[in-house]
Amino acid sequence: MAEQGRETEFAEFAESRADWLRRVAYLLCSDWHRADDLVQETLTKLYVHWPRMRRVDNPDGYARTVLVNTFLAEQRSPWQRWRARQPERTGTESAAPPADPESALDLRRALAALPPRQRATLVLRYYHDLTVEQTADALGCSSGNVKSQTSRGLQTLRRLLGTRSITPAGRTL
Amino acid sequence: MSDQIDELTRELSDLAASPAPVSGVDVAMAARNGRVRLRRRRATALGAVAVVAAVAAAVTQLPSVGDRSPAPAGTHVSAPPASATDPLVVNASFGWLPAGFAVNYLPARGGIRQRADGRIPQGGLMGPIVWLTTYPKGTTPPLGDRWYSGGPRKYRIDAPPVDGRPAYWVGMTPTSSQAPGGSGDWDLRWQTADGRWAELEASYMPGSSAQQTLHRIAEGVVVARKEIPLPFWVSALPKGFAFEQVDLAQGPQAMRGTRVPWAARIFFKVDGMSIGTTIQPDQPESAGSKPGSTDSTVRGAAQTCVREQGLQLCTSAMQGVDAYRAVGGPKAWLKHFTPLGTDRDKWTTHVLG
Repeated sequence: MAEQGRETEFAEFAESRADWLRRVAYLLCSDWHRADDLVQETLTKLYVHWPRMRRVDNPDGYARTVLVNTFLAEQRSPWQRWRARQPERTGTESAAPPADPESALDLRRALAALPPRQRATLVLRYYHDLTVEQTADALGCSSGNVKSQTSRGLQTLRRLLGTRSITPAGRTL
Repeated sequence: MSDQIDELTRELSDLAASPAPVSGVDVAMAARNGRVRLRRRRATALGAVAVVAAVAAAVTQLPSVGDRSPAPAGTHVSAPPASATDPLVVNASFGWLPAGFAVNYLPARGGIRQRADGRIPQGGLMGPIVWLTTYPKGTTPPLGDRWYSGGPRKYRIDAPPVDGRPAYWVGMTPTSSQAPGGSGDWDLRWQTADGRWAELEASYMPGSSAQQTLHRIAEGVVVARKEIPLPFWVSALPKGFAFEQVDLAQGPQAMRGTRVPWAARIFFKVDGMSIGTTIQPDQPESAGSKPGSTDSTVRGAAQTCVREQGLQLCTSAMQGVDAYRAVGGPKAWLKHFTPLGTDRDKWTTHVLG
């Protein structure tokens, strides 16, 4: 009976959250295909740890933490370090361009240039709107570390995006 | 500084919401891989227990570990197919659906779950999804959250009757003003003609008429056992092969990462190993699309494919060719399949011969 519950509950949760997790994964890794792989691995881990998933107060937060840590763990593997040096795959992404392609592309490239931990910190803080403490909890580090990663990440983004056209409001990062 | 942060937040949201290629995420595969990991973990744990017990036995001169019968690992045991020949059987079926919806038959414990997927609206990111579930006779579905303790509270809101029988919404707010066209996921439950409860779970249903649309879908649901025709049949199932699971995906997301309009997958178990075989329309543009068999690698797993009757049949196993030892290899295994083409009128409910 418990096994049956796991199957049904997991399928419902995974189907309803897969797209959201995929978009978070895309912010982290800047590649839709890698995002798919990250979410696939995250869902497999969630299935294995489903009893724990049932007990947490915030299942979405737990799933996001598993995703972020899967991403960071992947960055540490020799295979991933090799892969990161390869040219970006082309020709297989057939989606329509975003509404503001230049802006989105700039940010995507700038994010991709950040060290993985800085990238994860910025995504958690400014996309998910997590506090410093919540971000530290998700990344398994101290609040001070989150603050320094945030500061360095923002500094790097400003530098990378510095040549982008000034918006009508006169704002740049 | 605050403006800059606001802009970063907005741009991150824009980037995350940018149009994406069709997803390659496979929830069923995640569950299958998860089950394999759990089995390995349990086997390792039992092995460790056996080693510890053996050491303890040697030290304390207790009877040998062989006298102890460890509890069997919680292995996956699928329900046998409801039909001797058609493994894809449902207890209820969608009737009317809005234009553009396609029904997917997905494996779940205790049977098949059905999910109707609609088209992604112009300029939108998510297409509507409607799940159909029926509860066993005499079972009253609980109102509480079904996923986890401590989850968000759910509310019951009266709904207009469905075919004159009681119905209600289950949602996240105490009023139905937002249901189901607003934010959040909403369920419509109603009592069917034979007394059992049925449920539609809706996500991303657009427009102000979403409630009426769901009511109309509910009124079209037919509660009766139905065998779903499949595009193949399997002959002379080798000894030791046992049916494990089948699904049929249809619509734009049939096989994520590809553009096929539908795909059927069937899994058999042999010697504790699982063999999966996918049957889908052959894609003219696919690499090496020519009659005969080909070998390739998908997500790290070797697969063997043949093309016949306008269909592509591909088989793979996590354990590789070892899984096919009893049948003489993957190519020999595929010879047990008879593809029936893309014309659905020629599909059959006599699947396992």
